[in-house]
Amino acid sequence: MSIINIFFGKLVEWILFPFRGMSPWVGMIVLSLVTGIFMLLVFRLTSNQKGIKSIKNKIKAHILELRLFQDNLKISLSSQGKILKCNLKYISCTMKPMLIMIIPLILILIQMNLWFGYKSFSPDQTAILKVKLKDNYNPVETDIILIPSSSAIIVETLPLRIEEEKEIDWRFSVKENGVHHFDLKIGGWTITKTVDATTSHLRKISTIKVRKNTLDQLFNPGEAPLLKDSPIKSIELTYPNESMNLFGWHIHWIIVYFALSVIFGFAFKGLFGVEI
Amino acid sequence: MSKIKRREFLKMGLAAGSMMAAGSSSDMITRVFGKTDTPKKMIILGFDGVDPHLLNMWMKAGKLPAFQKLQNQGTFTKLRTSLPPQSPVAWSNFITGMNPGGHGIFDFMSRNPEDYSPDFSSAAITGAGKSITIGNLVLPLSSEKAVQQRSGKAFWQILEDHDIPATVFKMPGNYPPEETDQRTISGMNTPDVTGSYGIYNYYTTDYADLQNSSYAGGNHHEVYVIGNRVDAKLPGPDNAFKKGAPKATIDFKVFLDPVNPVAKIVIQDQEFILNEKEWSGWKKIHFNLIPTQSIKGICMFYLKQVRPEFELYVSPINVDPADPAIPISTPPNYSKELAKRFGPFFTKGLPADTHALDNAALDDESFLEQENMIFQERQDMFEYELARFESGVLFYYVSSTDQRQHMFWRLLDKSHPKYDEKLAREFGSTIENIYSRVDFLLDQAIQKADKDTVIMVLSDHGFASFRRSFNVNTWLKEAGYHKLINDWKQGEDGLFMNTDWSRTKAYAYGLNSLFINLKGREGEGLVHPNEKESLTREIARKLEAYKDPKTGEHPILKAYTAQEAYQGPLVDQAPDIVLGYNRGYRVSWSSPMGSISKNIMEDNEEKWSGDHMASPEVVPGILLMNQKINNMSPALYDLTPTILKVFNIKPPSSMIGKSII
Amino acid sequence: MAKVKVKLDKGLFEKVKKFAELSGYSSPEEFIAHCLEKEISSLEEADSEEEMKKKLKGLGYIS
Repeated sequence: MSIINIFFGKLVEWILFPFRGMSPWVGMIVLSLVTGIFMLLVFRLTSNQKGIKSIKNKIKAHILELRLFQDNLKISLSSQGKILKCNLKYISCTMKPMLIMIIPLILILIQMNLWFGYKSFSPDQTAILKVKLKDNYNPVETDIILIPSSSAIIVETLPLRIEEEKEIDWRFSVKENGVHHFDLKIGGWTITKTVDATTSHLRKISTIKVRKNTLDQLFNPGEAPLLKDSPIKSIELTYPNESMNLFGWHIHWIIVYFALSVIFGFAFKGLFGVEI
Repeated sequence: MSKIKRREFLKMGLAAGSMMAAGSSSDMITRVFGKTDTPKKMIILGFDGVDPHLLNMWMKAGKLPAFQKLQNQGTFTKLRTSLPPQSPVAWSNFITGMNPGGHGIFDFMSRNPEDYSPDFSSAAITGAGKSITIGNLVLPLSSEKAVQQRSGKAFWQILEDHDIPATVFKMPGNYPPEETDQRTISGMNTPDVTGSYGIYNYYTTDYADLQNSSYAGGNHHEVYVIGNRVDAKLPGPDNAFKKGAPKATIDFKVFLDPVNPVAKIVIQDQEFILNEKEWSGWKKIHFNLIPTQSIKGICMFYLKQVRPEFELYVSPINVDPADPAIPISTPPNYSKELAKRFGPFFTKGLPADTHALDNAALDDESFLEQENMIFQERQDMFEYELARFESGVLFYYVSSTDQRQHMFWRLLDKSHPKYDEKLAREFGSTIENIYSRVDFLLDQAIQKADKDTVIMVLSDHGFASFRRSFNVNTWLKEAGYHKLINDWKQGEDGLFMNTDWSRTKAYAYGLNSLFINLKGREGEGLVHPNEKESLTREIARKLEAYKDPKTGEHPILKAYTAQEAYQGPLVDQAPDIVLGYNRGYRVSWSSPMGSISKNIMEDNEEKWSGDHMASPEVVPGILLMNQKINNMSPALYDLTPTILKVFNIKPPSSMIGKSII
Repeated sequence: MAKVKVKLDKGLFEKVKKFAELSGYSSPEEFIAHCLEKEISSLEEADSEEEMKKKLKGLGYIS
């Protein structure tokens, strides 16, 4: 689990490294360009290029047929049927590259969410720190102490314990910019959670720390996991969501990413001689 | 694609990228209309309800230095208010330079003479017409629209005709905002998302609180704490897309700590933790009507108590200024601009929740916390508007002066039924404090003003104690002018449900209005037009003669007939009698909505203890200017031509006021 | 107004008679009609007039 996370984490980090601190659009454009080209190459190597070409030609021919014989119901119906059949064949030709790409793509998206999904805290913002305990712990009977690293982060409430969820929450507020952290003392354990209140633009934010060697870890790879036998299942900070700003429109980053990679894919298919 | 084209494409892509990046920092500012430089400028501050007597007293005590300064520069005088001295009426006089006979706003409420039903006086809803029904779904073919009911041109529209820019901030009664290119944001009478003047929601496990089945201005919901969790529903607007227009609601959960006084509220996609006695700040919510339609709103939560009884207050759901469901500003972007700069802000007409204080859903302290948030927001926005004010007119309105006098007069007046010595020690200076806070606003305006800036400070009316209430409909019944279907049901129904119209000669709706049940005008009119005048005079005379058995005073100082009180084309729409109450008196709580209580006179047992529904001479407003004026006794409608005079504009002939400079 | 008859348990009717007299109603019928109307009006809250009333009641000046 850790190896996969480290590999994809480093990959995205390496691509975005020169663009840290810049507008997220720069990193987004570069990432979608690189992944778009990568997907093009995978597509060329794994798809049935010849098959795609001939199917596309056939579709073109049938469309022409439709136009020429638009007054003849029988022919136009049969050519429509053929177009449908070709479409299905086309999908089958692209199935293999799709299947090959889907897993790395999801892993990349998980990594990208760390970079584009959340905003760091700004001064005077409040948020919740959520601790989930293992099933055999009762939050009301568990002694747990939360220690802020400095006066830049202030715990504003007593712990709120939700038995049914095995959860303990605190509200805290951020007073100054910077990288801060909370230490959680539970049993003989001390666990640290970073609070990112920096002002720089594109940076990796890990909202949740989860346990090692769980499926959770695969989906939340932002930081070093908790040890398997720690009494805590996860620690989470409710960072505000980030969106991409396009002339005042707020768009989810994933939509921007898909739109840009499609654009780049089509723009470069000629250069790489790929039939899509 | 050739190589060059490809390179160009790449360049374009990068350029677009950097533009997008730049776009994120560009601010949305609404265009300023008209001339960017006018020879004269004018700052007008409207402090609702500031009373000349109190102002004078605290000025003399040296507590209001900016007011003092303005008086020394020019003028401080009483300002004649409107008849009746209700804010929507008074501010309409100021907006149009006319009296109600000209602008048609006679009371907070109006009535439909055909079926005797009440309505808002300032905005009518039209256009809810045909619709298609498919199963449970109703698709309207035309959408509802609020229409401004005030007649006559607003002064900022006249300024617009002469290319003079104006920013008009929360002018009372300006809902829906008059069509204009000027920067305006709607004020008093702007509804909440349910279409009402403001309904809060209160969730409690306290059985005693729930014994009262109807609280005015709020819904009190019974909830249960099960496993340290409360499940509740927040009611919103009627869902006109569903058959029968059921209420749209939002489910939410509250998690309580088993020991600590903290709770977590989870509503839609947000969660937040509150300590006991803490406000949440604005939370954005949306009511889904059908998959493509939702109504956005903003509200605040106040965790009043976690244990022993759970008590949670949710403010009236204000229209979200960032995405308003109804028009609240001109140009429409103005409210969005303010929301972008300041975040969500109070958009409901009178934002302070006075009903919540009266119904003990909020206590004095939490009510004042809410009021302070309102005032702080006004102050921040004032500083923003003042800083960018360069030409034309800036009108800025403050409601807190009025609302705090309504709610805290009881602690200034030892003879008020709700006077409380302990509370007076704690909150007795509330009214004085708000006077000194608006003094601070005025000081900022004075500092901004150059030699070409005219400063005008006004209030629409003053204030008086409200100790005793007069059930005018009960008086009409006792005097034989109003008949009931079942006498034993007296005091139970509102909206004249128990009135026998076939035998009734007169009825009172609204806060100062009394109508004759006139043949040909009212649906079941009884009084012949020939008898109307004598009957009107008879009732007026008797009302003025009536004495409060407890004090021996006259509750009605003067009962005005429409003909003597108003001028203009709309006089025939006026109430037949307008009641001018005496100091210490007001219409009762239930009479304005057509209810006939058991007793004519009652003590006012509410915290709402100051009022201004009196005869105009009892509650004059204030006027201060940084120059001398030529009128010893100016009226609200004189100020409108005065504004035009500053910019050398001839007032239209419909204005009855005369310039005072 | 046309009238209809409704049957009541005798014991209950005696109670009704007693309380009608105590609370000053002119007849047991009047008392019963009053109680029923009260109950019905509380059930009719969704009525549009009630709704209008509620909306206007947001205004601080009235209750």
